[in-house]
Amino acid sequence: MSNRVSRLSISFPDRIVVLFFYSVIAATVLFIVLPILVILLYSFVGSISGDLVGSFTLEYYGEVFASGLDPLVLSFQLAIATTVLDVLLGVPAAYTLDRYDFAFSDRLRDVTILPMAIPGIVLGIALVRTWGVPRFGVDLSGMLYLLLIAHVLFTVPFMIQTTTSALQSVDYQALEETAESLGANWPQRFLFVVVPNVYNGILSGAILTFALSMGEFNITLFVYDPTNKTLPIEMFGGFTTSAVGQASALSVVFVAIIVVSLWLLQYVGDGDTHSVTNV
Amino acid sequence: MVAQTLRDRAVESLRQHRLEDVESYLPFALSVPVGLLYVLFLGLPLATIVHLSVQGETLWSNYLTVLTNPGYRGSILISLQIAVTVTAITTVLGLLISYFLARNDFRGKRIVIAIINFPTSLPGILIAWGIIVLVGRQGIFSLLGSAITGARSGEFAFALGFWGLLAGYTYFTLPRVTMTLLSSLENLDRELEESAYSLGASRFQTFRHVVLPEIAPGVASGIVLAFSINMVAFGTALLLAAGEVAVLPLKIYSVILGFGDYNTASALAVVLTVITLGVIMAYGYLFGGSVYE
Repeated sequence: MSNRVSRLSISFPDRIVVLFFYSVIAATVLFIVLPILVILLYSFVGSISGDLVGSFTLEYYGEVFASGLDPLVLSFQLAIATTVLDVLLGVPAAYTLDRYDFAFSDRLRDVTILPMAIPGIVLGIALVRTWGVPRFGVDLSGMLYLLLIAHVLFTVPFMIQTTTSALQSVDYQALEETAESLGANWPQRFLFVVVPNVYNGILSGAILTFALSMGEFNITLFVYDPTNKTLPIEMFGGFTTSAVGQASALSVVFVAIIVVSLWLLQYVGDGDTHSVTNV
Repeated sequence: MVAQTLRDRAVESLRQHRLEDVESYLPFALSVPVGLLYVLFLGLPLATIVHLSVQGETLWSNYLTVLTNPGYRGSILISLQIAVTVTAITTVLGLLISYFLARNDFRGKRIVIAIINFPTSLPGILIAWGIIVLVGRQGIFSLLGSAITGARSGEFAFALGFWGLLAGYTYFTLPRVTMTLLSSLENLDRELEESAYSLGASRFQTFRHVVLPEIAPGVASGIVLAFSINMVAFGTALLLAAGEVAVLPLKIYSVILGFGDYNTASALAVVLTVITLGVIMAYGYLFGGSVYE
């Protein structure tokens, strides 16, 4: 009985505390969702006037798909190419860094995260000052190659990181030794033993790479060629003019791509959260 | 006959050996492209920036300008001020949210977590646009305020400037901090708290003296992450604060765009990089691991 009384006596302030926490969480969810919802609304109505229902139109999406398709296609191609290159370059590098201990291997592991840690604007300026003019007989200025390289450089740390954490979660070295004792050579061991075991990590890295490349703005702004605009560059142009409807429609298309990517990522799910630096 | 077999075996074993040699180099050979990528497109460009920054009357003259000229020093200070403010706000809010989420089950919790995690994949310019459609000149709240009071909608628009910047930065920082804290709280042994309660500690005492010390590395990681992304954020600032609040990345941009002055811009870029890399490396040194995990 006394136990029940004491429980009752703390339950009243407890309820207020719980209510407070729920309010904080509700406010946070609202804060996160509201801008996206308003962008969605504006993509259909253009701007708020007296008659919301009457101003509903698909015109802005029509405009996006009539005029703004090139940036979307370019960003798609760029993101796919970046993802393929990231897998080809990042996976062996993650393996080598995790598998072998050699001189400075710890330092090198630290170095791989540098493209995420160095400010995007600094990387952009540095890249354009170095490769915006012909160097060593190679002229990358104004070429899509430089944009592709910049995207690979920015995203490959995430690929290396997801692959590394997948490698560290399985005892692939023991599996490899077994395969070796059965006569498998290194390419066979790598392709048929190691890679299938870290498949999830590679896939997570690939999806993350795709989403990051689709949305990359800070470095792209310095290395893009004005005749070839990527989606975020086109979006930025829309945001700075007062074409609210069209800019919002373009944003919705972009958000839809990101939502699908995130959903896939959840589905593949390696369970880790990865902090990306793309603001 | 025997000699023949032996020689064959020797040749065979030699070949095997060579194969193994080649094999042991293969992983390294396949990593060479990444190495080249980092050397040519990270190392060389960064060296170029450092080189540009020390070209002046003396080796340090650009840095001296950057640290003493009120315009440049002001932008370093305002960046630090905003980064510290947003970090403080989001760390406190993030702790409240993540602790509640980690210790309570309710319907829709998974969806709440998914929503909170969602903005981490959005680029900064889109977040800025989200703030503009809320509280910009044509923003929904500005128009609402105008409709209610009869004043012009511009009276209620604060997207472009310091407050808009603060809102945008909070928008992209809060999810990252909360998720970092949540994952470190989920790894925490609940029995510690249970025993604190059974010894008569209150909720707050338990949180303050049991939970907080245990998740200190996670909190530090959240703080470092929040601070560093707030220092470097560029896309968000370009839309929300260009010409209004000269945060460091915007200052670098305007120095290049306005004056083509790559030397001063490079010195500013080096200062920005040193500050952000400095806190990230300090975290690695003190706690081990990386803030991006």
